[in-house]
Amino acid sequence: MRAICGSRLNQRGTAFIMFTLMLLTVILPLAGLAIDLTIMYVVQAKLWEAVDGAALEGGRLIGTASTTDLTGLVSQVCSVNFPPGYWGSSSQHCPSNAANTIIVPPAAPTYAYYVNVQGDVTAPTIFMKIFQVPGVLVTAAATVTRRQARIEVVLDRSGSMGGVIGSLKTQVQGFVARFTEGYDEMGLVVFGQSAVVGYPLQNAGPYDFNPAHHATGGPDTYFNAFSTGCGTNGASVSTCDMPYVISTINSNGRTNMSEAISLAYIELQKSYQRDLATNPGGIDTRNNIIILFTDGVPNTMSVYLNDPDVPSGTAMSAAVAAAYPVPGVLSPGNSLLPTDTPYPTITPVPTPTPFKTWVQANEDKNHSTCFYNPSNVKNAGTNPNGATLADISANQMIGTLGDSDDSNNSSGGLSQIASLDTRTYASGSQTTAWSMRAVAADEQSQTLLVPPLNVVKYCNTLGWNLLPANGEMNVVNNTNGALGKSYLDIKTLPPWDLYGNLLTDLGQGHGVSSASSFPAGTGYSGLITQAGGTTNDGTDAGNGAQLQMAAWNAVDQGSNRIRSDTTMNITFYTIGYSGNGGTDDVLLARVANDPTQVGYGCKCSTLFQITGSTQRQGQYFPASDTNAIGDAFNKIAGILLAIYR
Amino acid sequence: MRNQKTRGNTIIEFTFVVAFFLLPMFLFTYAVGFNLLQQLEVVQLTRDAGHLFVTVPVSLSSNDFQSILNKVGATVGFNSTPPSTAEVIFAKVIYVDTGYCNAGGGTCSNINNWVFAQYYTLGVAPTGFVPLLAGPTGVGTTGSNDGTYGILDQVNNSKLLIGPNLPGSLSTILPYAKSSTQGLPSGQWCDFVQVAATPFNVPLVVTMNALTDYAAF
Repeated sequence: MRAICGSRLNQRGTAFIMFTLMLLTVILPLAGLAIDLTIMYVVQAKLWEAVDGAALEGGRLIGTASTTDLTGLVSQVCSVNFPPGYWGSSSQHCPSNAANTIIVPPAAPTYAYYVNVQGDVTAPTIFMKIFQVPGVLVTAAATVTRRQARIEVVLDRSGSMGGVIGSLKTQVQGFVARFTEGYDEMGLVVFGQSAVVGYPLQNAGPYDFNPAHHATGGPDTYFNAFSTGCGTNGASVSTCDMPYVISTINSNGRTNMSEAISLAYIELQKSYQRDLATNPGGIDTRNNIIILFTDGVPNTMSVYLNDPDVPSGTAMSAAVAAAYPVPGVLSPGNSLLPTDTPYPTITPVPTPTPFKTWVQANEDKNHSTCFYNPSNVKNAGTNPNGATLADISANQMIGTLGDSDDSNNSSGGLSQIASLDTRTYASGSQTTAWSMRAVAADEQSQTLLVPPLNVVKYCNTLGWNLLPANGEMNVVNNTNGALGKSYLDIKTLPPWDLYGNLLTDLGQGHGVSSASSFPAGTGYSGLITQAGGTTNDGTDAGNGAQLQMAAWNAVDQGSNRIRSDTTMNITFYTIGYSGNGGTDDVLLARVANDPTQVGYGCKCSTLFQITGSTQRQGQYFPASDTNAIGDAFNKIAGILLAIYR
Repeated sequence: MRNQKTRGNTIIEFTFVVAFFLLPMFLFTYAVGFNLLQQLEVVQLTRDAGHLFVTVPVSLSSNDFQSILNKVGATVGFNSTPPSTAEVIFAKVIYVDTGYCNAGGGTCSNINNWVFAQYYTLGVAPTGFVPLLAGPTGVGTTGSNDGTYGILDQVNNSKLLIGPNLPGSLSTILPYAKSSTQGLPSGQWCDFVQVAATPFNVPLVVTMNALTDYAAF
């Protein structure tokens, strides 16, 4: 008993001793190791955050300062993000010198700027000091890429935009401000009844064949250069910047989308060629982008009203041949640039077909197409007869065809295109006349003809009016003097529009609906049932439904041709505002070549994409209200700025 | 047979060990460990929020932005609307130099000062948390619902004024106009994100106001 009691007494406190031993040898070291490791991770996470933030700042500011200045700024930001002595750390390099911040200028194969930032620091230890480990070296690195952008913004300013044009302008101005002036390139095309280049202003049109002018055309880096909106750019040209030009946009006219994207393409080519010529090594480093905004469906297109290739043996043929296949579109041997670099090949190359005139003149149906031959200007007011068929044949005439699908609708029909004029805007004198509808006084007074391209002008056989208040070339019904059906004046549709975009079906587009055919080269025939159940004469080329389908196809064909350019690799982003009666989701998804449309809940599917191609895939953004328009522009900016780790 | 006098000694010893040593040590270890991990999450949230702020051009007030942030910050109890145990502050600051002043019209009472171009908070601030950049008050809206101020306000409104220098360690960032060598270019801004989360406090063992972190982007 005593032995037992003694043994128990001897055991008193052993649990405490054993626990203490275990605490000292096992629990505390383990807990200490865990704490040291966690501190190390915290320090490393902070270091990662520091180099991340510094790299993002450097990436965002590329182009705004010299590489040396940016390197210094990256170092400053890194120091803010990782204060000296953070959590007891030491030997901080965040980054310590230029060797830890490397800004790599664009080069093949990515042609992107790289900002590489590295940092290292010694994280403190508490318990591991017992084992002679006073600190642990942790490192972090971040890389940001930023590719230069070349962006052509294409804005719909048609009449239906009236309710949201103000909001759109604000949002687009905000979009422009997100890009770096002096680094990115930006341009603007605006379209209604026809399209014009809004920025840069000088020598912006596609019909100016003076090579010296085109060196200054196309998107440039001065797009946001002037605090007051206008000033003198780097080429010593007095001009206005893009936000200012955007502020002048008013809504009017119809929806000539195919001309708009074609002008955008031409503008991008100008800058591309210019940069190729001036960049060291002759490389182009930019993402080529077209951003198309619209609130409707294409219903108008610009065409030759007569066959430019068969001018009845007049002197016109030489001029047309010089610009063949399509003036204004760069083609082999037809460069708009002084370097005369053949670019690009139009695919498919339009095949000349000996068509006659597309329009009717002084024909039957009791209608007189009263085209005015500019060579007879001096006789204005005395010659009420307008142009004869011979006049039309002898002159190359350009105009827009709109879908005037009711008998007395003057909003469509034949109109003169705005981009024909040779505007040279002085600083601050930009007007809101974006097409020849609602022409402003300054445009009326300017030369509207670019020889040898003669332009049809309005005439009114009853009240002869040489310079109308708008640029319409509508027709007059001889029997009652009222504006007549424009479609009665369209004899047939040409096979392609002014820019070489085929008006026929590319696939999934609009084609024939019955056996009755139009003349060769067109894809329209048969009876077309329009909304509301009205059956139109599908054999009539001037029928509104036919014109609209042709305009639809011109956009589809045109965008496909632009995306097929494997040299520039142009990407489309499209925004469709559905608040003004609806857009065509399918068309806009096809233009963008968007593979994700199912996710947006629209009816699009892979069926509507250009399948099997290597074309760049863009994105279509349906927008149901003005906030959604802003979000769409913001998302596109995020994609294009392409700052990422 | 157990000696009556020693019966229960072990339990008493164990109770003392638990009460005065094990439990406090456990609580301390748990609190320190938990807060260390939370600090790690706070740093991560700051980094992620900064990435979103800088690279995702969506309004801070939009549901898209906030739903992403809510998921990212869930581990520290962040929610963009109450209840929340954390707060995220977004600030965009810009230096009004002569060039930026001219862009704002040329007459600037805030010339040669840092000002807020944007200040926006989401979530709920922990008790006792003092932000590095105290936001402007009483400015009113300038057409934005995400705390963005127009250039005219930036160059003239004294309520947006931060001062000739940024506070604390942020002052390391120099505007080009104040530096003879390098710095933030004229007209360019700097984005800041600060996160504060409620810590796990044990009275008499671990007490702190907030777990915080900030970064410039």
